[in-house]
Amino acid sequence: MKLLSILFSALLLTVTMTSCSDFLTEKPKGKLTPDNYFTSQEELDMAVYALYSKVCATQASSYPMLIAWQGDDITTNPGSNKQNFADIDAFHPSDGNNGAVWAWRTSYVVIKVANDIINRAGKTPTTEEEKNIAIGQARYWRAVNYFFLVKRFGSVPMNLVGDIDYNRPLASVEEVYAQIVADLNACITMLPTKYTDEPRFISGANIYVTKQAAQATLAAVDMAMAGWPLQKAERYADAAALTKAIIDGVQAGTYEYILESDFKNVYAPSHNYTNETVVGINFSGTFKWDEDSELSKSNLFESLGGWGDGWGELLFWKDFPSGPRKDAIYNPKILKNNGRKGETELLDWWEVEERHPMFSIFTVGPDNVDYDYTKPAGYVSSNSHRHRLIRYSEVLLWYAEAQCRAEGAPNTLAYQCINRVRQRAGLSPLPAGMNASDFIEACIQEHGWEVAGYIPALVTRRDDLMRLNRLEQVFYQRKQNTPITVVPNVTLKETLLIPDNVTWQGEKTIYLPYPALDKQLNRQLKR
Amino acid sequence: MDRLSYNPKQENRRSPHFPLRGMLICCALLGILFAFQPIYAQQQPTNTTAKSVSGVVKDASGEPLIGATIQQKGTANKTITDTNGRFTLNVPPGAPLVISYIGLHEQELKATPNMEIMLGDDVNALDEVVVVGYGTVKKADLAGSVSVLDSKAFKDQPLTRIDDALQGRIAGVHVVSSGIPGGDMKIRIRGAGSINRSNDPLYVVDGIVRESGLTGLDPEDIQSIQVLKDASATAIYGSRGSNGVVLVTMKSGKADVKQISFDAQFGFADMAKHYSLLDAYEFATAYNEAHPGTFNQTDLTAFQNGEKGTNWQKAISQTGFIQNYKVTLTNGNKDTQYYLSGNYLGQTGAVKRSKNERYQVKLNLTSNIAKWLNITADINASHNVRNTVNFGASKNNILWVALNYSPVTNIMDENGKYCRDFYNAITADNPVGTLNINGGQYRKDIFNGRIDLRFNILPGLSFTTTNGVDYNDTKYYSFSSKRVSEQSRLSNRDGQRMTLQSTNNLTYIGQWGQHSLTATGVFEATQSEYRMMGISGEGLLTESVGWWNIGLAKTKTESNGYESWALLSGVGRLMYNYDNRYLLTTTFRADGSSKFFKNKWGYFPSIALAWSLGNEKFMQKQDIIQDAKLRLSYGLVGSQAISPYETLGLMKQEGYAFGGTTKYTGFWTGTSRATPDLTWEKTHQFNVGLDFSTLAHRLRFSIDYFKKITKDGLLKKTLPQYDGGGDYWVNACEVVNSGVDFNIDATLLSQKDFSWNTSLTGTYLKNKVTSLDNIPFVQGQSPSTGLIGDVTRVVVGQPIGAFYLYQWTGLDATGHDTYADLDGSGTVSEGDRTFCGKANPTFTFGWNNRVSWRHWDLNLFFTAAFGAKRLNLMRYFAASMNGASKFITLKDAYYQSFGKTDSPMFPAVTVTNNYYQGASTKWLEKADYFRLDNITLSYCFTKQQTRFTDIHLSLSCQNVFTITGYKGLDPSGISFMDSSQGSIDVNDGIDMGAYPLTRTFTLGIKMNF
Repeated sequence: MKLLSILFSALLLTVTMTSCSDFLTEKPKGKLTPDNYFTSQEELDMAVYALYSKVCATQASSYPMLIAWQGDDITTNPGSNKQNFADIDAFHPSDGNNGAVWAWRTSYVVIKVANDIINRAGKTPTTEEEKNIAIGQARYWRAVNYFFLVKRFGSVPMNLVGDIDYNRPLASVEEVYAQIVADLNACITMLPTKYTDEPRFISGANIYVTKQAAQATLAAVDMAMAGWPLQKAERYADAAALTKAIIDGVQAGTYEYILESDFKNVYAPSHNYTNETVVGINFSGTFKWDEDSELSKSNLFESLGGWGDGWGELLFWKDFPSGPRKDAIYNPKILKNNGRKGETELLDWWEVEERHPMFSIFTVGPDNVDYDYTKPAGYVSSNSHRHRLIRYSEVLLWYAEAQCRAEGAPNTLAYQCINRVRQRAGLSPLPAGMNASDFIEACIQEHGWEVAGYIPALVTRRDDLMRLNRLEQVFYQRKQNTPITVVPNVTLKETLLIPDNVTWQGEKTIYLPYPALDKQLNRQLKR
Repeated sequence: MDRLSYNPKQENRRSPHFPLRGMLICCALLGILFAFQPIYAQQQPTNTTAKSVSGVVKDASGEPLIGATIQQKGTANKTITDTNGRFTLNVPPGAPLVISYIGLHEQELKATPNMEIMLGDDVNALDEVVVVGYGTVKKADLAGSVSVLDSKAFKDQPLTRIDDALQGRIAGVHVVSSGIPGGDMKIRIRGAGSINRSNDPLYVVDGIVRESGLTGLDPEDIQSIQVLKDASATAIYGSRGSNGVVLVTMKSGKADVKQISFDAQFGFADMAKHYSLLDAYEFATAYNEAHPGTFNQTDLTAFQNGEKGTNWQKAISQTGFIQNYKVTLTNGNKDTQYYLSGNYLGQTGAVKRSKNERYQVKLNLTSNIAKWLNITADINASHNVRNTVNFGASKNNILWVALNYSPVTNIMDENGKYCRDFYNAITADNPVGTLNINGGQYRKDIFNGRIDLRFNILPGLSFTTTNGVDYNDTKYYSFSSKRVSEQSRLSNRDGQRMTLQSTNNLTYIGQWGQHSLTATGVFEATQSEYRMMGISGEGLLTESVGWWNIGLAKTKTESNGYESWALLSGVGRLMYNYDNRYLLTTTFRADGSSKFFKNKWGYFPSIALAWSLGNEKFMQKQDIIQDAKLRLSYGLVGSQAISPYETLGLMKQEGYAFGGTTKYTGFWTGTSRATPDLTWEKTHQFNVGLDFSTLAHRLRFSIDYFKKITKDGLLKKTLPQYDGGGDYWVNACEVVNSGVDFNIDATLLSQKDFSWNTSLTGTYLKNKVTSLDNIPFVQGQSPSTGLIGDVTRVVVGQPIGAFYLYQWTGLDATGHDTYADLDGSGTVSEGDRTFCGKANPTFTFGWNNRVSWRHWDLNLFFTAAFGAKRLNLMRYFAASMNGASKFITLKDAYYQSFGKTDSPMFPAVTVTNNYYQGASTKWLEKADYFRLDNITLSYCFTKQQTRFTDIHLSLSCQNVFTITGYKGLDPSGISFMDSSQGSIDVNDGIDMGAYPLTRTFTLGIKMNF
């Protein structure tokens, strides 16, 4: 029968069309699976690119770096939308504070990507040298991010495998530091001192981490371990040795580092790839809200059309010695209304609504040119500013301090080091024959001025204060809030206050709270 | 004889003059409806042949019935009514006539000249055929819960899209419209059960699942909409049925009905409400209080005189214009019928640049090729163009920007550059510039084609194979200029989805004595593929090219991709009826989905029992209650609403430019995990319903209680951030939706010239999360990162998307905002937040009225909702001083501020150290409302009056008034968050510039030739 045969063939057709066993099997075209990865040099490179993308995210916005507001160099608007900044500045962040949440999240993502490379890239069919470069980058950034975490949170969960554990215990501060040191030591042996091709080497600067960059980083770690909370004073000698090796390398011409002759170029867009930078993170203003450095409006006051996230603290500004460095870090004068209606009048900062010194580190001119404070600042909210995690001037200062602490008195090189930095800042050299504690204090002050307001620094002013166990002083200083005569006839007080019911609770006050989400997932996360 | 030709001999001719004038006047005086009564000159019939009778057949609402059958009883002598409901039949007067129409009560009358017959509307609606999945059933035989919306319910109302028809007209269905012409809709049937994924219902148009929802369909082409609600009805759609199913039946040609109709509508839309904001002078005065000397006397005078400054709300709005044209041709004989229609819809919104256009054609052809074979071919093609304007929850929302742009800012400077705001919305681009120069456009081409072959194998046994394609191609373009934004930018994107479906249905219908049985078996295969390509560029070397030349962009980003899924299904259904008293329906569906790795197959059974009490003898002894029916159903439905490949744990692509302008492509393991054991989300649904009518069928009730328990709910389980964060799918959550929905229909008046039908629908819904496995909570997304944190949260014991806020406790003695310190920490901290209500209403109502008086028709449609809240972030930002809107613009925030009034609500503009918090109850408002949603008055001129065609004229007003305490622009509106940000049900109830409610006046004309 005709009908039945039509029916039958129709059914047959649909059944054969669909009954093939793979009709319900997924074929993810254009996608990669982790199991089949690390099969070529190109895949190895791509894994490192992804790592760097995540490294970039640890500093893209100011949130992961909010801990810097604990320092005595920087404060913020007590009103506006600066709650997250203000709570950290006043030592009472909640477990929902973006400073805690973002720092935690972004660092652990880097660690996850790094773990994957460290544990699996070894199977890539390529040269040992290339594998060392890739694994070395991963170990380096894993170390740096655990360094961030341990300084910001103290004891933290440590994952080196890449597994998932809802009950992961906290690793002690000591354990975390041990891992950081192990990773950085490995980097020093694995990494080359020079790269040649993009993206490893761009505009005359090594972008990938080199051996000497790892040495400088380990020196910073040693200094931190030597102070609060571990107090391993023997690490100063290690720091001195590491920094000495770098200084020698620079003198021998093997290492590329320089000291910019003019401080105004240290952070300038025109010197973005300066070799004063020892360790940097690259940002691209081309990729808005993605790979850009979102700080270019953060120093400009809100009353001038900026974001006004970070204000200079009154006392720190007052103590800051005048000179080209101060003029580059703070606006010497402020153009009225940022000249938006053609104003040309230059005001002192106490004549401006915020009544605080205004940092100018990140501020740029229109179209991202170097900033000239007598002309309007550009309103670009993000740009390609390369974050200088460690600068060569810091290496010099670390040497000076570590050498003095390790050997009990500053040697000639230590004097030379600090005086080079002071000289560029327009200060007179330190007098010879200082006692050790004065010399050390001078080094600490100098480092504070060098990195004042520079929140992306690996070692910020806040980190120095923590290492020296002086955050408590900062706390009580703000509590008292003594009026400060910033210039004759202008006496001001800090506007951001610590609430009466906030008391100093040691470690709990110093470290950021564990973020609420993870605290609820893992009950072990408590102090 | 051609029934459509003009026959002067026909009766009931009326003078066209008076009603026409009356119509015009009445159009002008819509409000005083019955004040004017037109005079009808009723002519006596002339010249009726002795052997023929003629007349008109109408339904209860006075609407002429097209295609009603008039048959001389016991003979083959019959005819059907024409487009005006008229007929002429050669019978001797006094002969018995049977007048019938499907779905209406049959009547037997003696033939008389000049008959005017009214068939009782709905009285025997139980004979109405209801479309259920994979078949039809008489309403009387329905055991499950299915709501039917006939196109009559929204006839003459100026609906531009079908989604609008669902709101308030079907019990259990809740519609939230973004209001944007052509924009997003949120439709929920009996609540939301899924936390992370879409709770949109499944849309099935004439048997083919439509991935493109209802976009591109013309409401005028719709015959009826059926909403499948309980598991008995939805389980037949198994894995895709858990959110309910909307079945749409499109119009097709009818045998012996020839019709050409033309339809045109013109409308004007204006914003129904504005925020009350400071004008330029007031703003400058207030600003000077906080920042002395900013504006000098010259400035102030200029603001006062209106020489400077801008009313931004006004500057971005316009009168929207709507035009909608439609031509329909339909013809057919008993073997072959066709329906052809074309439609153009052009809409501009009440906000500048918002625009939506639809070009659409439809062809349906049905033919009995042989006694054993019937073929239906159907094509619907549409081209949709929509301009995009940001109305989402973000600080780029155009209304948000307009609300916060300081009124002292001019639109443009002397150089033709759009001014930036230096006083308030300091980070935002000029809103007028954004609308004039920047912008995007969606162009969506949708094609649906279908061929049905129905083989009538044996009496009662038929096999139907339905094969269809749902194709849509979406192109998206956007451009922004340096004249307005920081950077010039362009992007082009193209995504194409093609879904093929083959449904093969074997149905047997049999009857033995008091038993009747309908058995259906279906084999179905579906495959869907998605392909996309996109490029975007920044830093255009010249802007004059708009979005058309990527070669001029300094940096480019490109992407492409592919996705596919497949579904294989077997379906069975038995509907058994004993003596029209006891009904049993069981269904079973097995679905195999490619989206799951190991556990591909899911099985979805359901059972429904119904007892038609009304047909029991004991019930027929009384005449208080008629048509009583008790329904009971239980079943299991599912959801597979994850995206393809989500269980595979694929690597994530991540580019990095190392500071340069080209990204190096990178890969990492990403934040997802392979989840091979993932399987279906299952929803158990229980339903009990009662239908009955009273007062001789004139008052009809239908009430259902339901409980939906979603188990093994697809939930994204959060991974600890210390292990890299991210989330992965688990079958974990449990959500319960329970409630009552009811429908009351009444024929309040049913007289020859005057009728009044009313229909009230209501829904009570309770949604509660009962388990999240070991996940403490699911966090909502921040509407605007950096300005406000997350404001909603999912936890056990609360409905999905409950507000999680700080409790505002008023201003303290120094004029600072204070919040309840719930965790006793002494400061405002996370622990102080608490649950404060939900975004979805507890009760929703719709009340539809249709009054007919002679040729007049009046429709009044009211909607109401109670129990919902909205977080009014528009008021928060306009009344608070924070980073992105650093001063105030709201009038109240100045005049009701500390120091300005005895009972201040807002801190003074000079305040410092105030803690502004958007995520607080200060900005949470009740969004209860009662609204006259639509009023339509229409008048019909018959062909006899106009001498060439009958003409329907209608005048409508939508959103006539809204009674609400809500201070925002629309208590029912929300700002839709980008879907990539997560489920709309989690991030619900946020008003950060919801599209303003518009009041629309529409004039419609419809001609049937």
